Amino acid sequence: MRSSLERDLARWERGELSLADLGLRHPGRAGGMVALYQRLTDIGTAAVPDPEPLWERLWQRLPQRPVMVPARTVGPAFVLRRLVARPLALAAALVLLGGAIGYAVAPQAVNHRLSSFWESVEDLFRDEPRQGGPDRTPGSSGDDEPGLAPSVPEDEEGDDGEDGDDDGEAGDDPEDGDDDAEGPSEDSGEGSGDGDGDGDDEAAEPSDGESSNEGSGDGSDEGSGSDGSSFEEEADESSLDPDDAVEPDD
Amino acid sequence: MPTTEPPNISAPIPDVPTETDEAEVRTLDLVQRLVERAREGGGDAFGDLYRRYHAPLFRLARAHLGEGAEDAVAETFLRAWKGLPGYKDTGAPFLAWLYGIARHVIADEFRRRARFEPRAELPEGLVEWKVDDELALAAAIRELPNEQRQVIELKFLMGATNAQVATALGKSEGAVNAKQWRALGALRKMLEET
Repeated sequence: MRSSLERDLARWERGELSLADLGLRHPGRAGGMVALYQRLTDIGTAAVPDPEPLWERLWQRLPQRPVMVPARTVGPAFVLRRLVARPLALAAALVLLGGAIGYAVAPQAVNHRLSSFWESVEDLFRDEPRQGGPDRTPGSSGDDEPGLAPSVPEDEEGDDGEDGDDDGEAGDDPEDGDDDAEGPSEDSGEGSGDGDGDGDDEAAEPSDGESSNEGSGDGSDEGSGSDGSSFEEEADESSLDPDDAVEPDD
Repeated sequence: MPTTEPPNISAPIPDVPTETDEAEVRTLDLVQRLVERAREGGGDAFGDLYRRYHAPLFRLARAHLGEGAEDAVAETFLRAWKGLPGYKDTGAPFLAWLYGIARHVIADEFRRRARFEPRAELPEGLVEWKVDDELALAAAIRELPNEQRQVIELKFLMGATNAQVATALGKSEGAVNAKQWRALGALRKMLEET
């Protein structure tokens, strides 16, 4: 019923229906609507004051606006900067930030694995493969590398390092089980710059190829019952031994 | 029942851009050029816009405020002048943008009046205008739902056509027409109750 009235009012507005017909179709209801319609229309068409003097007054009040800078031209450079450079910079910043946060939040073991990974990457670019470090070969000079583990092939060294058997075997030795536990950590610390290596941590991360070498080195060094520093002392002592220095002459 | 025939609302109203076909396109182009020049600081172009849209804004302000409509129109154009650099042509009539500013100006004026002219403290004579028929009608319009109120104000008080109202509100002309008649029905009911 209501939609019928609206429909007929719309027809009346378009001139398709006379007011009399509208009144006949909706007696007592259409009249009030039409009267209101007419009232609103009168308001909307009422006379208004002349705008010219009002404009003159307003013109005096308008603040001076700075000259507009022309709208930025949308050229290739603008598109490149807007669509490529900024997203790339944002992505790079997010990656760096995420990496830093991840490194800070990650457990120490993970961080150490990362450090070990970077050590191995560094080793790839070294001129000489690092096998135990110079302080592990007492009294030796540059040609003492084969002497580190002469009887152990590289594969075996790697296996030893991976499964940590060296540590376990060395740990069986009642004399310097502690040395075994500490040996790799100290050695790796000296070699890689990771100075605060913990014995437990090292044992938990046997995948380090260097530690395997060091582990085997420790095993052979255990006989002397000394750590790296004592090797240096021994090396110094042996090099100062007058008999050794004299023997070749004999 | 009144015997008056309805006015031809779709006929062009001199103060408002015309609606149909080429005339509409020409008017829109003209308004766009004026707006663009006014954005760049062209006072003359802004004056043309003022002359073009002064009447609908004045009628809107007078319907709601009675006295002070001229000041409200001036304030509306002042804010428009300041806001023009940020104006973006979205396809809606420029009149609709001015209408949005005018609504804020009128609301601010109502707040100011409520602050400085509390009705309870005024003598009877000074509040007499508030029961004027037109202002009662305007008060009823303000009670309408938002879209119905916009349709009534844009179409009847500002003289926009159904098509312009539809573009401004993002509705179809049929929807605007339906809202118009529902709004009139609601207004009639409110005025009968008062």
